[in-house]
Parts: sequence; structure tokens; C-alpha cells
Amino acid sequence: MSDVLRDARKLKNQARRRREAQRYEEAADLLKEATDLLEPTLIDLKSDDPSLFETDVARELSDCYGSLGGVLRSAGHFEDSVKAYESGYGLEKDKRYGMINSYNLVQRLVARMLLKPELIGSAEWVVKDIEDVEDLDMWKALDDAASVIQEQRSVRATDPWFLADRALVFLLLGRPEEEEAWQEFRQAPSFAYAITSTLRVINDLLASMGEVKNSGSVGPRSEEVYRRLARAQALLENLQSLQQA
Amino acid sequence: MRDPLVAGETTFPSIDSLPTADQRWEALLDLMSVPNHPGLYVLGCFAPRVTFLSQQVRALNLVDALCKTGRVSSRSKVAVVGAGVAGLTAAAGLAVRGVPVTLFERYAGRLMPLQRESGERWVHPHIYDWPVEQSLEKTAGLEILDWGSNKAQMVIEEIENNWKSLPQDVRDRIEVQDKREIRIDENGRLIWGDNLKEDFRAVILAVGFGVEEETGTSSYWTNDGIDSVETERKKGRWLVSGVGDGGLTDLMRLCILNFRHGDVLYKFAEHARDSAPEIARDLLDAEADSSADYFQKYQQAAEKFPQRLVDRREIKVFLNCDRERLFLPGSSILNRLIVACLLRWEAFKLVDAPGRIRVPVEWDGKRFEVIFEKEDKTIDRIEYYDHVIVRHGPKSALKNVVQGKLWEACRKKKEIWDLARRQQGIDWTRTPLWKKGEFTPGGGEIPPLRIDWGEKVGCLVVVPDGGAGLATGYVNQALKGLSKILRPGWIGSRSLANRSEVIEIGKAFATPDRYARTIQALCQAEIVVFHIDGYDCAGLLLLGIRSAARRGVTITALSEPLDDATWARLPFNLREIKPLSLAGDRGDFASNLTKAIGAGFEKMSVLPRGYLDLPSYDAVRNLGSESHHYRPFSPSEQVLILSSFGERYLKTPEAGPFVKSAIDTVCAEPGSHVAIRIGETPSPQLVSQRLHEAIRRCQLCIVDWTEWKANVFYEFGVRLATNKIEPLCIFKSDWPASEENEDEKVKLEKRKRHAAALQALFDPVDYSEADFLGFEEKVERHRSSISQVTPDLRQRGLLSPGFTYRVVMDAIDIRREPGGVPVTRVLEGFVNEMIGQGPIQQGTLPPLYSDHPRLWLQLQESALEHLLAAWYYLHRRARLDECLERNEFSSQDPRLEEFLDIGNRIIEVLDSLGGHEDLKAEVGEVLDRFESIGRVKK
Repeated sequence: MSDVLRDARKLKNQARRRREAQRYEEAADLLKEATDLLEPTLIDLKSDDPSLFETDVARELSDCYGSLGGVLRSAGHFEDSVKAYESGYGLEKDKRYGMINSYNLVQRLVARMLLKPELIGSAEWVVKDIEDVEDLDMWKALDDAASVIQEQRSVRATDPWFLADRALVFLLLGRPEEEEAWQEFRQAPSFAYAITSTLRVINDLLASMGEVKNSGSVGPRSEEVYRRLARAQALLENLQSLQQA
Repeated sequence: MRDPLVAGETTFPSIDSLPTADQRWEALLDLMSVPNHPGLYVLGCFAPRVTFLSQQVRALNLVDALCKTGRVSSRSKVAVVGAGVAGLTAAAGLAVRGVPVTLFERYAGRLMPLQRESGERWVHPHIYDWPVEQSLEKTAGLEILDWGSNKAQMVIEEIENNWKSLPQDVRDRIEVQDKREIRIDENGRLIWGDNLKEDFRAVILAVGFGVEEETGTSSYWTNDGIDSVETERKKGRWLVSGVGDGGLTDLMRLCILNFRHGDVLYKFAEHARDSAPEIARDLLDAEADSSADYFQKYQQAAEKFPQRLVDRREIKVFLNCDRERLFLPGSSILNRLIVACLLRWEAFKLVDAPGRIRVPVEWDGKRFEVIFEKEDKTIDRIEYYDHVIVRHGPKSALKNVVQGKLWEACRKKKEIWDLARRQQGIDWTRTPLWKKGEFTPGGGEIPPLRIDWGEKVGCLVVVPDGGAGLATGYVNQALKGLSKILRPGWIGSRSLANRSEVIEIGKAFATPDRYARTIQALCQAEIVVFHIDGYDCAGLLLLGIRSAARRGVTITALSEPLDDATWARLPFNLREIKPLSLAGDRGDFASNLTKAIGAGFEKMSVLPRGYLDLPSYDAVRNLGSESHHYRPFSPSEQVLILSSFGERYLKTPEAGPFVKSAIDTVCAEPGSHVAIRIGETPSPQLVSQRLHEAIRRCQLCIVDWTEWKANVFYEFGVRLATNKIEPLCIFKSDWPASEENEDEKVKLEKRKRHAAALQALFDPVDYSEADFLGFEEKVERHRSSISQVTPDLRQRGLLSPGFTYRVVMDAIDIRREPGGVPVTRVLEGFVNEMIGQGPIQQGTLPPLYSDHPRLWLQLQESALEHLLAAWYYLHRRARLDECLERNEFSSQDPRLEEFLDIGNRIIEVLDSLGGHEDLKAEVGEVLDRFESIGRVKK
């Protein structure tokens, strides 16, 4: 393994443990160090016909951006979190690298929801004015995300991360397939970490939306999203307690 | 290689024009052979710069070339004529390589007679190569008959002692014959006594570079007392004639007081090294410059040397030489340099009108009458000296043993050698061609590897004869593509060798030596590409050896299109392989090859203990968990017959049924079951498992080559590689082909295209009609020899019994065999098999039924325990905490890398399992401490 990849993975692992200990600033610094290592390497390598090393660097960088987005989100830096997830998503969707993942794809939307919870479920749900990031029509983005996720189904059928992303997107879109999606998630080989992580997202969303709701400024679709999130929260908490038992 | 003389060439082959070892061996044999007399070699008789060591090196080079090109082997008889240093070295070298040798000498047990009384001449292995690096090294550094600088007499004693202490098995191969009147007849055969002749596979004439013709003065090796104090007391004038190393040395002996050759040479060499290093380089460079003014150069060089280096004798010495010729290349640079100094210091003078002198020089009772001759050999003038030393070089001793046309043929070769004499630095024959260790006694007959990939991942390509060029092209193209797709985890920290090595099947079986080297390469190569066109039996035999000996990436390829119907017709053990087809675009094939090799590496990295692309590796290793599952089957229990399953063979009474019946007759005891063909035994066990068990366990294995079936030879290869008891090969030479259609005949010819080479190596017993009666007797002989406690099989063919097994055993990488993998890697291997190696959330290796929640949990928990075992083991066993405290780690310390990798995997598994917070905290805390050690900063 190259020095750069090895060092980046070390940093990512250290950051992961800092995040577990809720030492978010330290974790973010370590992840930024990792992206600073990988980013110039990828620029140097970049080609139309990428080598596997270039692909590995791109995957690792995408993963680090995803982790950074998560840490920043946990620290409450939602705008920076969006930026990090977008950087990860840029790599994730690059067909040259052939990544079959949906983490950054979905989390970039979640981070925007946390940034602007008052817009959740609104008819004109467009998140704007994030520095260096394009405005995003959230309904369209969620639709697109659902399509991408469905395309991945054949190769990720039992991947709990995929199943959680799928269920969450269906939930946000208010699709009837949501219930079936959670069922599939339940039946997948249990990844405690996938449950914990998804539950954390749902908790954050509920908390943000709860504040908005208390201010009395939410529409009916928002109410529906909130209700679905609360139901999913109960389901996941139940799953978690079952597993711990 | 063509004979340069026959081809009308008169150039000494340049080493630069011989890039491969094969070419150098052929060129060397060419230089030392006698035109039109195959098998007759002249060792160093015409060579320039003859020293003890250069002659020894030439001798070993000749032996190396003879063995490695298959000219001689352990089945050959070789004669060496002459028991001087070169002859002894050649004989010892041959014997070490397993070749029986007869050494002919003239002086009834007095080896190296010429120099053995020489108590005055000093001999050094390298000094005459000065200023070449390591020329001051005092030992020859040979693996056999080594020696160190000393007086000639002492050197001879040392070589003789080393000769006597050769291991007994080596000495047993050497027969010394005392024959005074040895000659070579015009056919190149040895003759002695009353025209007794004996045929040898090769005859090496090592009769020396000759003796000086009668000069009227003492010979070079005679103790003449010039070094002694008596010389000063001798009045009058001294004349030295000759400016070779002999003449220059005697000039020094006369001019320098208390002359000790070794001391003087070292004094000058060390002064040059310490005070005038540029001199040495300048003089060395001038050797190749024919336009150089040597006299001026050496005089200028002499200015750098102080007179105090030596004490001079006060005697009158004259050298018969002119300024132009005095320092011409041809003698040692150091000798010339010292003589230049002596001339500058006026320790001697040049004769006023130098020229050729007539020998022998006459002594008139008071002084020597030296006659200087004109070009036409008439007298030019006469001068008188009190003492004369003539060193005009020896006359060839070769003429004593070869005469007539043979001598004329030898003389032609001399012309080529004379070119090397005139042009310094082009004689590469005195530089070892062999590799270190190849003449170490005890190395046995198994030659060391010639293909050496070192720590790189090597690729070997086995191709039909003449296919090397094409194969090199597409395989190297594929390797280039592979380097682009190679993932770091596939080949660990190693890198790909830049290019492939190619072996043509015909050459692989040309000699035992080449066969051994091919096997070694098959064992060593990480990647082998087999081109098994036409199912050539020789190629399939190699495939069988590879299959049993090495778990690596092996790709088989065919020229013809391989549609499903063709594939389905392959024998069961070959059908599993599914070769790639070369039909169509070569670029596509290279690309497919890249993908196939890449896929192989990927799978092997995931399943290092289970990956298979050939059927035999695990099958011959895993026979059961009890030791008795591996116990050999004696001939009375089971005899394995590897043979064709063709209908004709099985139903023709004189073929399959005859063989089975004969073996039953010989081996069966009442109540026993013996001869088995795997397909015929009733058992529900898989045929492949039964076959491989029998291949490994049956002591008596009969391989019937009749019909030349590819699968039989594949299984034969597996057997050779896995059982030290040689199988008995048989075949029916009168097997009728009349019923075969034309297409089948063509196919048969393709399969048996290397039949002759295979027969020479393995010498199968023919059971054709003529030999029917003797067949049982031969089987019985083989059976009874196996039944002994230590099987004592008679050698058949060119290979000794168990040869293949021994070569494989010698060449395998034992780190890949049981016990070779560190315990932490074993534990990690189990984890990889259970839950995969890559990012866990992507589930790169989901086990079958892993969507069963409890199975999934079980796998994760088991993986966790394995990882913890590895992690705690590494932590405690390697005392990592202490290393950390002592600051002993570098950032890339492999122990640290492994420890961190395992620790992080533990965290990943703990995350996926949930809970275990205390464990996660403990591991995390330790990882934090260790992960802070050095990282790449940008």
C-alpha cells in the first residue's frame, strides 16, 4: 500500500475514534489532514483511464470527505458539512472510478435539511446561498437519489448501508415503498453501526424539525415527513435494543 | 552457433555482442573447440594473459558451458588431458557437477609438475590485473581448488591439498590415469599405448601453454638464484631478452636488492593508490588506445614514484628491447610501470641496437655469445655478455598431442586467440560465466536457479518451439496492462518484474540441466502462462509439475478457438482449467490475459490458502487429518496405472489389458487388490480426489505413454513432483495408427512432438510385441526395488531416480508450505475468509448464507476473536510497548503496520457488532498511542 493511502487510512481511523468520543474538532482536523494528503495526489494522478491506484485514492478521498461531513454535522457545522459531503459526492458520482455507494449522495441532502430545517417538505424546497455550492432543488435531488439507489439494488441487495439510505430517501419523498424498505433493512445482516448511524441522522433531523415545529411554521408535507421520521426512529430504537439484548 | 572460421570470420567475439548466458556459453565453446572435431576442446593453450587463476577460470567456464548447454551430463564420460592447474580444475569442476571424468597425466602422480619445485617465483591471483578493482585481493576466491598468493611451490601445495580434500562423492567421479604417450588421432579420439582408443563424450586438452624452447638459459620456473646475494658477486654484464611478464620480472629481480616480488608489487600499487590515483586510471585507459605513445606515458607515470620505494643493486643490466616496444600492451601494467621507474632511475639500460637473438645462446667457456639476427635470420652482429636470461615465451605444448590436420585445425583457432592477445581487454573468457555457488562441492547435480526474479513477481511463459518471440510480445503487453490494474493488496509490497521469461518446451527437455532449470522456474514464478497448443505431452507434463508444486497464477492458452463443445471433450482434469484462446486479435488476447492474471491475483489475495487455477495443488496435499491417510501404498496393496482411457487402448488385448494383467501377475498377492486405473474402481469419492491420493501414495506407479494422451502426461508430471519414487514409464512402440483418421494422426503427432526428448530423459520400457516376454521381468525388477526399505531404483534415461521430486523440493518456496506463515497471518487469513478483507460495510466477501442473521453474527464474533488473538499476541510477543518506550519504531515498521491494521479491523468489527464499549475503548487507546508515530507530511 502506498504511503499516502496508508497514512490517510491511519488518520481516518484516528478521527473515527475521536468522533466516537465526541471530540469532533480533533476528528475534523485529522480528516482534513487526510484529505490534504489525498487531494493533491489525486490531482497528480488524474487521467481519463484511471489506474487502480488512482481509483483507490479517489475512493479513500470520497470516504474521508464523507467522514468529515459526518463529523462536521455532529459538531453542528452544517454548511461546512454540506461542502464536505458535496466534495465526496463529486468523486462518488464520477463514473471513471466506478464507485457503487450512496453515502455522500444522501448525506449531502441530510446536511442541507439540518441547515435549513424550516424548508423541509415545502413546495419550493430549494436550499440556496451556501458559499461555493450550487443551489439545490431538494425534491428533484431526492428523486434523483432514489433513482441512483434503485440502480444499485442488484449489487447491494444485502448491504445495510444501502438499505438504510434507500429507506431514508423513500421516507423523505413520502413514497409508499418506505415501509417495505425498512422491512428489508431489518432483515439484512445487522450492522449495529448502520443502525446507530441512521438513528443518529433521524434523531438530528427530528430535533431540528422539532424546533421549527415549535415555532409553528411548518406545512402539511413537513408534518408528514416528521411523522414518518418519528416512526422510523421508533423502529430503529427497537432494532437497536433487540440487538443489544 | 556457427564456427567463425568456417564462416570466414576472424574476429574475437565481443562480450557486448553476447547479451545472454546461452550466447556466452556457445561462444566460449566455439573459441575452445577444434574446427570439425565435435567434442574436442583446447583449454587455454592459445589464450593471452595466462596465469594460474585465469586458467582456472577458463577451465570452470568451459565446464559450465559444457554442462549448461547439455553437451555433457552425469551420463557422459569426459577426458581431461593434462594435470596442470587448468586440467585439475576442469576435472574437479566436472566432478562437482556430477560428470564422471578421466584425468590423464604424464608424471605418475606428480600433479602440476611444472611449478611444484619453484620456490622462488611468486604467484598472485589478481595482481596482474592491476589497477582493476580488487586486484590486490590475495585469494583467488574460487569455490574449488582455491589458493592465496605465495611462492609457486606453496600455491601448488595448497591447490593439491584442496584437490585431496574434495568430498568423497566428487573424488569418486574422477579417475586418474598415468599415461605418458597420449595422442589424439585425426578423428579426435584419444590414443595411448598400443593404439588403445576410448570414446569420450568430450575431450579437454589442458596441456598448458607450453614450455620454453631450449634457450641455453634456465626456464622460468627453475630456481635460478637470481634473487640471492650471490648475484651481486657475479661480475660482468647481464642481458635480459623478452618483455613479457617473465622478462620484466627477471629484469626487476636483477635490478632490485632483496627482491621479493609480492612486496615490490604491493609497494608500487599502494603508492599509486595513495599518492597518484590518476596514474592507474590513465594507464588503464591507454591500454585500449593503439595510437598512444606508451613510452612517454610510462615515463611520465614513473615521475610520480620516488626512488626510495626500492633499493637498487649495483650490477650492469641490459634489456634487449627498443623504446617503442618496451611498454606496449601485452604484459601487466604494474610490471611495466615498475620497469619504467627502474629505467628512469637508470637501474638498467636498453641495448643500443635491439633485435632478435638466436637461441639457444652459446656459452664459449667464458661468456655468452649473443647473435643478433637480421630479418632473414642471417647474423647482424655478435655481442658478448657474462649472463643471459631469455624469456621469449613458451612453445605450444599442444603439438605434442595433436598432429597433422588436427594441428592445422587447432592453429586456425589460435589465430582468433591472437586477436585477443593483440587487443587488450577483449578476452572475457577469464571472467567467470557461472554464478557464485555453482561449483561449491555438495551442491549436487541440481543446478542453482538461472532465472532469478529476486523479490519481484516473476512471470514465466512456456511456449511451443519457435514461439518465444510472439509470446514475449503479447505477454509483456499483458504485464504492462497488469501494472495498471494491479491493486496493492494483490502482491503485497512486491513489484512486478518488468518482463517475462520464456521457455520453449523443446529446450526445456533438451538436457537434464535444462529440465531442472525449467522446473525451478515453474516453482519460483508467481505467474506462469502455458501455451498448450495441440496438447503437447511435454508441455502438459510441465503443467502437471506446476500444478502440484506451486500455488500461483497459472494461465493456459491455446491457439485454436475453444468453443464449448471442444472444451467439453477435454479430459476431466484438464477441462477444469478452461484455457484462454489465442484465436483472433492478439491485442484482445493480451487484454484478456491481463484480466485473467489480475483476476487470479485478486482471488489469491482473498484466498491465499485456497485459490486454485489448476486442479492438483490442494488435492495432493490434503488427503485427510490422520497420519495414516498419508501412508504409502506398497505395490502389493495398490499399483496405480496412469494410462489412456481410449476405447482402442482399453479393448486391444495387447495394450491396456496386457499391462493390467502383467502388473497383477507381478504384484498381486492372494486376497490383495492391486492394479488400479482410477476410472475403474468402485467408489463414490470424486475421481479427482482418488486420483491425486493414489498419485501421492502408491509406491508403484506405471505410466503408460501409449497413445500419448495429454491427461496422462499431466498426471505423470504431478506424480514426478510429488513422489520421490520414480514411476515406471512404459509404452507400446508398435501401437498401430492405421485406424486413426488423418485428423487424429495430425493431433497425435502434435501431442508427441517431443517424444524423442522425453524418451531420452525417462527411457520408457517398450512392451511392443518383440518385448512382450521381458516386460513382466522389468516390472518385477522395478517392483522389487521399490519394496526395499530404501528404494534402490535403477536409473533409466538421463535422469536419476527421484530427480524431479528433488529439484522441486529444492526449489519450492517453503514459506508457502505449512508452518511458513506467521501465526498472525494465519489468524487474519481465517478472518478474511469469514468476513472479507476490504471495507467491511461493502461486504466484499460475503459468506454463503451470510444473510442468516445468526450466522452473520457468529461470523462477526468469530472474526473478532481471531483478530483479538492476533492483536494481543502481536502486542505482547513483540513487546511493542517496550519498543514504543524506547522509541524504536519507524513509521513503516512492518510490526507496527500489522498491529495497527489489525487494531483498526477490530474497531470496525466492534462497530458493526455494537456494544463492547470497554473493549473498543481499550483497543482505541492503544491505537491512539501507536498511530501517532511518523506520517507522511505534505
